[in-house]
Amino acid sequence: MICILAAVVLICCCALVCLSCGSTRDSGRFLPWFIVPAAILGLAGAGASLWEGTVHTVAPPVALPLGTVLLQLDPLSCVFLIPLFLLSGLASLAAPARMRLLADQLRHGRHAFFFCLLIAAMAMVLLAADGALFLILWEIMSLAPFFLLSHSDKTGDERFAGWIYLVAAHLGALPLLLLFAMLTTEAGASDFTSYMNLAGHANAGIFLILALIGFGAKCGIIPLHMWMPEAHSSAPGHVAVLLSGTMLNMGMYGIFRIVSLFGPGDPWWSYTLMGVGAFSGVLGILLGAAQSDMKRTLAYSSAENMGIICMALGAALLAGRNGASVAMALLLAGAFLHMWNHSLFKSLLFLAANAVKEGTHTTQIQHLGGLYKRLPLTGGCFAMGAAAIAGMPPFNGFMSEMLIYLGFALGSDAARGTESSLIFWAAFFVLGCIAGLALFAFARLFGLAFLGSPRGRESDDACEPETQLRLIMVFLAASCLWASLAGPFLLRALRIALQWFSQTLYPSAPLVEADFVLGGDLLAWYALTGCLLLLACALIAGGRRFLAAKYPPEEGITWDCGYCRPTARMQYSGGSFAHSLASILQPLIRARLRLPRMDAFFPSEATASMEVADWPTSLWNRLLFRPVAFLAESAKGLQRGLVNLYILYILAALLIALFWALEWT
Amino acid sequence: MSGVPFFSSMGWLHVILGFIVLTDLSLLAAEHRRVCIRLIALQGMLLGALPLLMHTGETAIYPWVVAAIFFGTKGILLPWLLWRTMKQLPFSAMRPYVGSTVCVLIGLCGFMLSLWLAGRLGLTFNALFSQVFPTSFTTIFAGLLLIVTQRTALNQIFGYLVLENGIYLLNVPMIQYENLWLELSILLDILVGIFVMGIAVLHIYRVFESTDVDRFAVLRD
Repeated sequence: MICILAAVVLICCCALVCLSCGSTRDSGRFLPWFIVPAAILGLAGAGASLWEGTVHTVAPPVALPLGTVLLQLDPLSCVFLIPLFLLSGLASLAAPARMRLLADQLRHGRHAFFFCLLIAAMAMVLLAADGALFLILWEIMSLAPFFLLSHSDKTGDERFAGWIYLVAAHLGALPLLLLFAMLTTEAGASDFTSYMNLAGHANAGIFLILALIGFGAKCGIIPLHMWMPEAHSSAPGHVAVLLSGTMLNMGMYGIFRIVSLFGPGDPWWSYTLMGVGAFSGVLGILLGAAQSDMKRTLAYSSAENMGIICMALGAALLAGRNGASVAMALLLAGAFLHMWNHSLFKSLLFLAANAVKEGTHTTQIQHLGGLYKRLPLTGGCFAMGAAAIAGMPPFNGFMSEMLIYLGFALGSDAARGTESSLIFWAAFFVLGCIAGLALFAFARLFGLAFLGSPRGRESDDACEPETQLRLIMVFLAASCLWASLAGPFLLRALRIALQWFSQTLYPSAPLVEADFVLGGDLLAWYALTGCLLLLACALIAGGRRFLAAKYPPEEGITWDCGYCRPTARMQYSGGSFAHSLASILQPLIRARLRLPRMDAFFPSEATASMEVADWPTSLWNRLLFRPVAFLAESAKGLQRGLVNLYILYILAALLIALFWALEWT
Repeated sequence: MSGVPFFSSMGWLHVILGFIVLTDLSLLAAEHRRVCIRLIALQGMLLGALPLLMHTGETAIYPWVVAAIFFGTKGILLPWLLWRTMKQLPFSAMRPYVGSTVCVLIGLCGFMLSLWLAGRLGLTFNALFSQVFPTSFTTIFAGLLLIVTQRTALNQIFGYLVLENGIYLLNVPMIQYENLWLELSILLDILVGIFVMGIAVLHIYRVFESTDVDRFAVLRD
């Protein structure tokens, strides 16, 4: 606990130092000096606490208006603190160079301040054990990214991204405000221990729904994801790492925390969590697969991964209810490991996409192509990240998904003869679909951006990023590989946290060590297979190199499709690649196709395009935002600029208040 | 008023209160600024005389001092300031948004509402207060109505003054406790406000070549 608080203090000091430097100087250079030691401290503290499974509480004698300052480090917090500190350290290392590149658009001091504030607020959110304190820190954490996103308000897209983030953050905070107000009123105190007494409360279902809306908006679960594509695509690399790798986890943490406080709840809790997760998973990756912007695809895939975690949590609750403790252990371990893994590979992918943007000044797939030859290291790292996120062995993505698959199967087996069995199989099927679609989406993204020939001049001039970013990417890629090989170790690290979590849900029958044996064995086998696969890959690569040296290969255009003189324009474009998928799943993707009419014998130049509108967001627009905007516009009519009218309003308000008061006396 | 001898101080109080209501209604009906200012001066003088009629305390000099202050400011100083400003502006005719007949009718409604409210609120803690309340509320209402219905900034100042007179009237019963400092402070605020507005009106006239408040709408965002 001391280590983590020291880390937070160090980060706050860094924030103040950066702010005091002002905007003229290169304040970004301070970030690694403070945040890397803080991250190491925090990692050590959280890691030790997680390994031992201890719970530390600190209650400084400071009063809050509606609550108390109560900090608690329990195993659940530790699980989320580890990726937070790891990625904060890496992001701070990447930050100075990114800030230098954006020098003309950025106020360095302010940017660095909010960067530190975001990290510190996230760490404190994970420690807060009091409703009022949690909300205050949550709000600070939600506001800081707005200032990081709106660093440059020169283009409309960036302004839009900042505003939509702010609106979504506040809309998400509303249900949380209601939730904690209800909890504090019902429990009579605002600390989490008092909340636990409400476990069997009649309104526990409402608590879950409010938490799902509020925290779901933060972790980008579809259809509450509207801020995510805009924010992630316009954020600079180091900010995107924090947003996608750690801040989404905060939303997930909220859901886990509420479930741990009031769980396991009725069976419909599980069905809701699984349903929401499945919807978000399928739709997230479907929408992502058809995007024309690299970063937007990555943002949508975050919604998909959060959906998978949500689904695993719901299934774990259901398995626990059915008494299938091994399935529950597998599902919970899968959920936590997938959260860690997602943080690793999503950060890697965003940094690689950022390197592409810095090298080519675009992330639009239709302008890229053939980048692997120009950016071999970035391309290689991106390929590893894409393979990991698409669930390809031997990387870490499949490791956690495998646990979840097996958990579904065992859960279904334990619930044989009941409707739960079918639900587990349905979840199994949905996860399979999601994995398949993810493979499609990332094969498309990597293939179109990095393989083939350059589609525009942007790709021709691309160059690798600076050494520091390359090292960070290599570190993250190696971590993805390491995590898959160190599965048994990670499971051992998580075991106490999982037992603690299961004890809060089912105090009478928590998970025991025997429940983790199957998962441990499975991960050990996965690691072994992974090693063999890597060995095979190394042998094939060596053999290929040997053959290539012996028989020099002939260079040609990739995917020439049988044309005798192919050009780069004949390659698959983003739209044409996704077209087949979009036509099959049209009801879910709702792609709009624009095909040219070709009536003449010698048709002139024409273009075809496919647009994929984010239809859940459009639905929100139609149902909520446009009516609200209409009302707000109509209310503008009240402001005529006439003093008389304003005084008339006051007069009317006073008279109404007078009559209202008379009515009540 | 039955049971109150006409020439007693209470009788005179009722007469003055009646006159104040009449000045309110006349102000609502007035079509020229000159008339308005004269009516405001008359109302100010009537209000200034009220402390003499309401005082029941021991100090004999106190009501005379208070009456002199309010008579001087409300009855002479403020109307004189308004008169001076008016002289510098070209047009004298009032151009309200709402016609004078309608204004008077609304003012009468306000008077009835005040009488009803006085009964409904049951203000029994101070006998004088319950007597003064209907007139006071009518005056406040008339002031607000003047502000709302008038087009030019100067005429709105008349409204503010009448509104302040209404508030003053609510405070006059406090004279029994020889405590009118609150009212004096409000009056000071209004006095400063009138100075500022009087200056502002002239500036506005120089910039816009008009004192119509609807032209100020261009200043909104």
